[in-house]
Amino acid sequence: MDATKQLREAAEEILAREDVACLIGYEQGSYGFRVQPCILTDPGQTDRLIISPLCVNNLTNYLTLEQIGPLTKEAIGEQKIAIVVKGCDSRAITVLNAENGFSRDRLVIIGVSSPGVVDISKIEARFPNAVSPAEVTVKENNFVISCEGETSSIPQNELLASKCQRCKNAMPTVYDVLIGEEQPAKEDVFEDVAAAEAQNIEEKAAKWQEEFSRCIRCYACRNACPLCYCSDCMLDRLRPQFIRRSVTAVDNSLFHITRAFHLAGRCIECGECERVCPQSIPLMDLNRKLAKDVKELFDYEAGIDPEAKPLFGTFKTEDSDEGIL
Amino acid sequence: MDTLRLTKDKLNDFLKSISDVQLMAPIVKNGRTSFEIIENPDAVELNLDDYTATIKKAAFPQNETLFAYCSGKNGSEIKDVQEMPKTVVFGIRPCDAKAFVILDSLFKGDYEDPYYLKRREATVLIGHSCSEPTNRCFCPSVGGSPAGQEGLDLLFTDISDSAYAVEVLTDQGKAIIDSAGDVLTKADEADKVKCDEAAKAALNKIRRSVNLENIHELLPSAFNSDVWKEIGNKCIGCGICTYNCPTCHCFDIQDEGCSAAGRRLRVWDGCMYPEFTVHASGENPRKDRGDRIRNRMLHKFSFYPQNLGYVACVGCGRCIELCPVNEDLIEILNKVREAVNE
Repeated sequence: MDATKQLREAAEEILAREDVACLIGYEQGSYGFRVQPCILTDPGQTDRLIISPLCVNNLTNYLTLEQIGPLTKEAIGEQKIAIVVKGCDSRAITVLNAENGFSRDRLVIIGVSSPGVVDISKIEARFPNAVSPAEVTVKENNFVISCEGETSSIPQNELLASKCQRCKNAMPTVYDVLIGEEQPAKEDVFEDVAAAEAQNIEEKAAKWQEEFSRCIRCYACRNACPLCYCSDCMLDRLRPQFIRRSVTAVDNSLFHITRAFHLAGRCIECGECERVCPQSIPLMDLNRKLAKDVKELFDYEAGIDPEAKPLFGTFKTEDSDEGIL
Repeated sequence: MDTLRLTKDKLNDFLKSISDVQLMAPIVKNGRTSFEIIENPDAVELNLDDYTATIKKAAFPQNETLFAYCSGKNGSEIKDVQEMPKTVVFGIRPCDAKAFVILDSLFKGDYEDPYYLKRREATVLIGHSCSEPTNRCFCPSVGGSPAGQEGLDLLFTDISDSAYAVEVLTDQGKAIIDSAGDVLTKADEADKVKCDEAAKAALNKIRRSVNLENIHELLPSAFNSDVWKEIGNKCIGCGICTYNCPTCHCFDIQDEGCSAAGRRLRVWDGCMYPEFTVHASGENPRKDRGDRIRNRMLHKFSFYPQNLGYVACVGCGRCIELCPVNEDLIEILNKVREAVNE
């Protein structure tokens, strides 16, 4: 049975439950390869749902926005929220649960064993005229693309999002219902970080100065991040104003470095920050380096173990004290 | 005015003839495209598929220092720091040029904004007609065209692999042509025909559209509709749509510095941020994301046309392309129309 059909059946059953308020999933977007998040409340709406390699968003982001789904937090009360998650997305739930950001008990999780998602900018570059709804499925190691009445097949690695090319956890770490086949997790050896680490300090400074100077501070990286959910963000503070509103290389650097460190040991590598950035700043390069450091120093990976406490909420006497002044 | 012809191998000569002013043009840097002030015309890339770079910064930079101060012998000294060198923007799309006309109406309106207007007066716009509109373009729906002339001083159109037709649209444009001397030649009738044909061909490639009939009255009538809640649920409240919009122009005034030295500046602000309308008391009259999207749509398609005579959208589709969650302005307006008709 195809994944979308399986998903719709599971969703219909879940939405019929009295203790479930709504379901956050994906539906066909407004044009071409675009898929959009949707929030359903009625079992009769589930034929809108889809799951495909175009479902790029990490929907767990909606759990911590100031108004959840179609209802406010007050209106949902004790009712549960059903949510569709891929492997990386599910890790956000584990982190949110561990740090008391959002309780896993309030969720019905539909996990999708993900074949990886498409980099939308890459596929749109190949099919620049896609306006009618297009479809992408996976067959062997290819993406099969139906676009504007024609079907073509492109090797997966040519279109796969970079986060998926290095992904070791395509299988959700936490779920109630699973769509797709189980996949084993693999060991992350961080080969993608080596090139950045090989740079000397001047090269690093020059590279990131240039990258950050392009930032327009639209805060899409922050708002698309499921784990950037402080109700009182330091960026918005006026007294004291930690980061000035003027968009300069210095203030932009302060913003991004602060954010990266705030996500150390927490980032679950869904890559949403990098995907949404309108200025193409490679933010995941920072997050990957920090993930590697966290793994090496503390043997910890965010959101993998549902029982694990937050990294910075624990202390072991054998922990590295390198860097403590 | 005149139409001239420029062979593509002479584009550099033309750009080099623009002297004593700064030249802003699209370039590719580290695989990314943007409009930058350039020294060397060789770097200019005209036929970019990806034209996400915004150009409103030419007259409305993200940071604008209004004045600076420092303490001197006789107390505080105020420094006027505005530097507004004459700028020629080359390769601007017709939609982006039209955006300046829309912004002009506001900044020249009830209150004349000296900062914007000084920059604008010092800006010459040389357009490049779109020959390959993107899959999110809908400029004809908002009164534009891939070869639109509004706001432009000169307009370049590809008429073959080796030549541009150059339409002279203003005296400022003519001055640039005059200083270029014999780099350009007079266009013949065949060139003019090709130029018209290119414009028509591009227009036919645009496939997205939105019905704006009576939209300025329709939107206010849907003010209390639940449709806004549904639309707002999906929004994540970032500033991509506003910051990348060529006609969005909201700003915040900030003071930076200490008693010894500092500056007052304005920086872009956006109506999609919760903080935009939060009051000193803590009350926020637009606390839901749907309320904010409603305001943005009303501003663009109702308040602005009623107050200033222009729809504040040029159909570039950047907000659609860049939105992280596929909030699509066309879909939003269609949904609102549907809700009203029901």
